[in-house]
Amino acid sequence: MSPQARRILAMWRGPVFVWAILVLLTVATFAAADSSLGIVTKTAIHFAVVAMQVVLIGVFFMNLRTSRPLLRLAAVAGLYWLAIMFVLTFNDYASRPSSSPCGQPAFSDANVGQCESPVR
Amino acid sequence: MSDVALLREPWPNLERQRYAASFGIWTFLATELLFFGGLFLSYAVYRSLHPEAFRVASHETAIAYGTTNTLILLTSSLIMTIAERAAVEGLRRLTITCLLVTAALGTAFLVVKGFEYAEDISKGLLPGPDFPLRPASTQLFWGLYWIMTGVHAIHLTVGIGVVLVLTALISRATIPLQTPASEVISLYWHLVDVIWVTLYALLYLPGRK
Amino acid sequence: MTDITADFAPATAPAPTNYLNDGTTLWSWLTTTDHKRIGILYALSITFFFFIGGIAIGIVRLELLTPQADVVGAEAYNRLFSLHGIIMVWFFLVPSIPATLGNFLLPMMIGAPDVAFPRLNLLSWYLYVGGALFTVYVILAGGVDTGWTFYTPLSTNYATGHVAAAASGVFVAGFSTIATGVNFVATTHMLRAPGMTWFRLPLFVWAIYAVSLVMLLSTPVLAMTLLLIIAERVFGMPVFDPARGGDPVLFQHLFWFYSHPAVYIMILPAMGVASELFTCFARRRVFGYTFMVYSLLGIAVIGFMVWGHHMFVAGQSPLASLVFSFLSFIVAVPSAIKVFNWTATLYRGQITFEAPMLYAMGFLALFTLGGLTGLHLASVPLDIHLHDTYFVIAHFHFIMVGGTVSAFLGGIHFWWPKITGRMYPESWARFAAITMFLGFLTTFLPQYVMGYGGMPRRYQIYLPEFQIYHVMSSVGALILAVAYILPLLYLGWSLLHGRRAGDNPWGASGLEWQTSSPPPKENFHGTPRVEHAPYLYHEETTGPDVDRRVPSQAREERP
Repeated sequence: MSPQARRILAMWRGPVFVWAILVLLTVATFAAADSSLGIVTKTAIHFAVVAMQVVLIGVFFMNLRTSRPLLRLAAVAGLYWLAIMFVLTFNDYASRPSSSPCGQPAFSDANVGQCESPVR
Repeated sequence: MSDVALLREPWPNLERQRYAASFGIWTFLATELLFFGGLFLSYAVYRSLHPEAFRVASHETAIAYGTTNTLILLTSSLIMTIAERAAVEGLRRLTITCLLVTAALGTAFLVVKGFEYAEDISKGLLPGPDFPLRPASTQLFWGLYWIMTGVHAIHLTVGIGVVLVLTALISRATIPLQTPASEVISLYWHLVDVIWVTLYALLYLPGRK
Repeated sequence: MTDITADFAPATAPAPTNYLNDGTTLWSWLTTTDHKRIGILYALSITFFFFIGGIAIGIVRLELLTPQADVVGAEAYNRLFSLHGIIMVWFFLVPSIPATLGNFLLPMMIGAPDVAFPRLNLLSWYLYVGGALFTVYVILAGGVDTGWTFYTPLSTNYATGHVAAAASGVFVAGFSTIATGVNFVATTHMLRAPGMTWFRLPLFVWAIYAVSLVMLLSTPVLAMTLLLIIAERVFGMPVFDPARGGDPVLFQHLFWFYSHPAVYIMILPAMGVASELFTCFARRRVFGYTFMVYSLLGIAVIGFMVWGHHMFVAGQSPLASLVFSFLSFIVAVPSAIKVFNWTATLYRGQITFEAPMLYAMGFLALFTLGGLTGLHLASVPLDIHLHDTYFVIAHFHFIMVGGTVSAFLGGIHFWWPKITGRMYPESWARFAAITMFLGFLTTFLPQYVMGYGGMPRRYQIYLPEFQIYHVMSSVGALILAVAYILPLLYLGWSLLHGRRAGDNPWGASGLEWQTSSPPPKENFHGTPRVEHAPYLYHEETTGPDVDRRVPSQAREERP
């Protein structure tokens, strides 16, 4: 094999391997969705798979493995600020009192349409 | 082409310019994350408030199309990675081929999405007075579905356009092969993939059984 | 560097080629990638919108002279105050200091020839103009009546104005902000001159850097929120519709997640300008430089965690209100540190009262008063009474107008000789500064009182007991109008007839003063080298009271 061909093969090897794992993860999460595991287990699996896929794409396809620290910081900063948004918003929703003026639990689907405003 | 052709004002040297281009696009990707973050937050809040409705609603998404699209986009990320590395290695033909294949895969995604949208519409899954599902908050899920996938599709379309422009400029040697633009566009493409992978888990996987 | 007295350099003609006469056609201006020209393009645009927004509120203040509705109808009234808010927030305040002074000065202050992405810079101006055109359309088509806050379900279901167009205009302008943010952050990281380490940066640069971080991380959420309003209003997608399980309070969470950091976008650059003005006109280095830097960053970061203080009465949970209230008290601390440090910078300074210094002192007083009333509003029990009253209006105008606009005008005057090569007429400028200060107090102090007394905001018809305050406020607004028109006139005059300025008429420190006025296109003749900290107005071993200085303040002897 010529040096050129060897170089090209080396260039493909890593990414194809990562791609294979990504595809396997997709199949796994699809299988989990279709399985009869509990809803909590399924959701945990789905999010874990997403996290792994994001990390794989970020580290191997987006060059974070070889990046300088500043770039990694930029990558993480967005996630951190997203976390602030989620945590402080759920701080509100998770601590809302459970009753509503209409006498039904707030936001229950039985309640929707009870105290309604006109639907478009 | 020489390095001199790549260097632009105000950069003192090419290495700094590349570093800045990478930093600039990563910063922009952070903003994109927060842009979609508003949608993710809305989804998370409403799913926590209406878990049953979301299960009912997400059962109706066309998972076959969705999974196909996930595999298409993952493959396009692979090819885009190769394109970027080939550009760095100076392999002109491989770069151009891979860029074109990436754009083709992106277009394939849009075509599949088009068929999926047609099916969704034929099932009446547009929020409004004739919405077929109950309870009413299933429309929340479907409203978010159309907005999330629509905004994602717009980002993908922009990505395809930019990839094609880059391909044209490289193949006509208007810009050198080693342009920092290949890394910039590659990173943007991967973000579009990352967003889709998340959407797949949010929109297609819940409520299957 | 020895003491430099604040004399004007001898009047000479400007250098043969500077950035102003390097290409004089309109096309050269509209296709420029020179950050200095882009700064001027922004300055012209925001001035235009400032006066549009001012006219809108002028009509409102005319209406409010009497408790009845006699000047405009109810719908028109709502549209007028909405336009005032939308234009002033997004088309004046957010771009004001960053896009004008920031664009012009950031590269110069760090010793760079331009920003990191000059073509992106030009694009950001065009995005601003694009958003602005939407807004002009909205005005001509009759306006929008939701208030600048676009609360649902009014904006999505019931409003009769041009909500989607207004939201689209702001959406497009938001991308201008994001582009500017990316550019400035990259510039500060990547283009500092040799020797310009992070802790030798002038505080204005730190302020622009901090504000760019805030712009980057908050504006995308606004963009999405506006998109969701458009999706619901135009395409019928139920995002915030309670009848289908949606929550209007979620809109408020998303909106204020941007809009609270937005107010820090508006004040942080003003703080940066203030630091430059105080150090120059007291001829002292800033007190506590390191604390000033960390305060800027602290405000930028903690400012993202307080948005719920706009929602204490919206239906948020009591726990969330408590947490947001606590964090809102915390965020006041770095601002207070800055106020103390500016004051300490003045102590034992050699203070002179040129117009920029008058604006800076006005900034200090008015920002402090406004900030203190922020603490009132951060307290949940007080806010329950003060929410949606004129107290809130007075609070944010003290900070945004008394603070940011004062600092903006101070900065414009301070850097005017550098930007244009001309001096402005000092007496007129001082008169305008004092008029602004007095007019501002006349307009907004009564608003605190009547807000505390219960006068609701956005009301056209009110109880007669508030009329006296409204009359005072409207008279003050007239004085403010004079104070804002005056600079337009004399600054314009100075472009043609002002005394020519030398490189450094103020004897100020900072790299921008080491090059000619106006600067050459590439900013410097040769790359500058930085060898010392900023604000070096006196050698460590010279200057007034040197023998009474505490020994630990002196740095080691330089060879």
